[in-house]
Amino acid sequence: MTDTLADEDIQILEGTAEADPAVLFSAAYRAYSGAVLGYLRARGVDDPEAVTQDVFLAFFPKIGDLTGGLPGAKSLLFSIAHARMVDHYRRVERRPDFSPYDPLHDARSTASAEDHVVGQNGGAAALLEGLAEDHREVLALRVVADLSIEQVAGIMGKSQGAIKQLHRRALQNLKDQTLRRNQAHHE
Amino acid sequence: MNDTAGSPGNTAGPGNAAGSQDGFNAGSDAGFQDGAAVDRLLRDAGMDGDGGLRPALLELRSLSAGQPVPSAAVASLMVAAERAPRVPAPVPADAPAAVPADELAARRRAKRRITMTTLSVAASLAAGGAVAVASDQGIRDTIVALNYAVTSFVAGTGGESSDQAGHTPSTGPTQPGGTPAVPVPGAPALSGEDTTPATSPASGAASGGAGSPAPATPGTVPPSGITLPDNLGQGTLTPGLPGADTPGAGTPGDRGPLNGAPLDEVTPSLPGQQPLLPLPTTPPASPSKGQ
Repeated sequence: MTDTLADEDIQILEGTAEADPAVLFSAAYRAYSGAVLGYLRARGVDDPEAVTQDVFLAFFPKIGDLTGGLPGAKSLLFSIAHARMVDHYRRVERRPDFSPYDPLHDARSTASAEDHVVGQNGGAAALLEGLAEDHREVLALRVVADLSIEQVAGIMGKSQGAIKQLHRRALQNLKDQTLRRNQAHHE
Repeated sequence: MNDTAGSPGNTAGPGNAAGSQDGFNAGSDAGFQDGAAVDRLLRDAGMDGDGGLRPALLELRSLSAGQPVPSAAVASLMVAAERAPRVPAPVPADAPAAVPADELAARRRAKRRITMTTLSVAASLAAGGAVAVASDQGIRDTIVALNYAVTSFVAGTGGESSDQAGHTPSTGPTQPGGTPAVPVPGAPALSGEDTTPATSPASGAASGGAGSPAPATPGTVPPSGITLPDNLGQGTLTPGLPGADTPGAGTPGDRGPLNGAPLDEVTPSLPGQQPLLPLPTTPPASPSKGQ
């Protein structure tokens, strides 16, 4: 995920934390916007691109109070993204969006090149379907967003030991689910 | 290095991800880094020997490939890539503010400007409305009439004041502080014009007696229509005027000018005002033959 450009952005975030907010904001966007979008896709949020922009718009006013350099910026961004995701599911619970299910139009089997080019990534996000809510969250934050155990514990409001245990169980469940799907696909 | 090229069901691994903006090399680098990250995750979970899980995790990581196009709002907050410093140089604390910071301050100034403009427009409208109301002639006349009625009542003229209150009280400036509304000598006596012709000599006498206390100032019209003699303003009154012997002239204590009292002993008046003469109830009699 990090390339030469991101390395410079990382240096900007590390070195000029007290300087121009717009420069910090630009560096943060270039470094983490893809991860934020991927996290929101993995969590099944509607219109993840628009929510990604909302996350960064909410992030900009808080740049002045940012501490912790690069990890601090990343934690703050994903804290905001996590809150947006929670809000999304609360709205869905209050006002469920019913749509008829047609298995013929369900492309959630395996990821195809076409789906990936179009940007749907239905296969990748579907990997987390069927897992418990906490397992989906910890895998999205650890795998997609590439956050540390400490950062995930802060966002989810749990201890680091609880996150480690949760992460292990989530990976095991993912493995079992993936095997079941592969077996069903081969059959 | 394509770690996911051989994984089943993964026709487009992160190494060849379409979301990679910088081409194949960057994509390869990203794929390599993704693979390293996944290996670290499995190691932390104690599952690094499990090969079946790695492809699934790499597929999950592919969700974060690429950078979304910023919206207009986000782009306005960003610095253009070409203006962003490529080499991290230490920025002094007293460095001149860059344009984006000025944009933020400019936005704040614009918001403050809009607020101030709205407030000033509202204040101007309120002031204009107040001026329009104050300049209304009818409202001004009403205020003057009300003041006249109140001061006349306070001065104790009773019914006389009530009769006069109906007339147009445009007699000129009135005394401040609620004092009796004694018009200034020489002021237009519009109320005098509306009354009986008997008051015109009084007006003439008042204008002629500038140095002496005028017995009847313009505007103070005796409601009963009593005609005051012309010689009152000339100080020709002498003790023993016929008024003293005239029936109905009042008690001996009523030493008005017609009853023999000098003009100085008339009813005390407020400083700076013309003295108010007690008006006799009966017309003055002719001078006695004995004098």
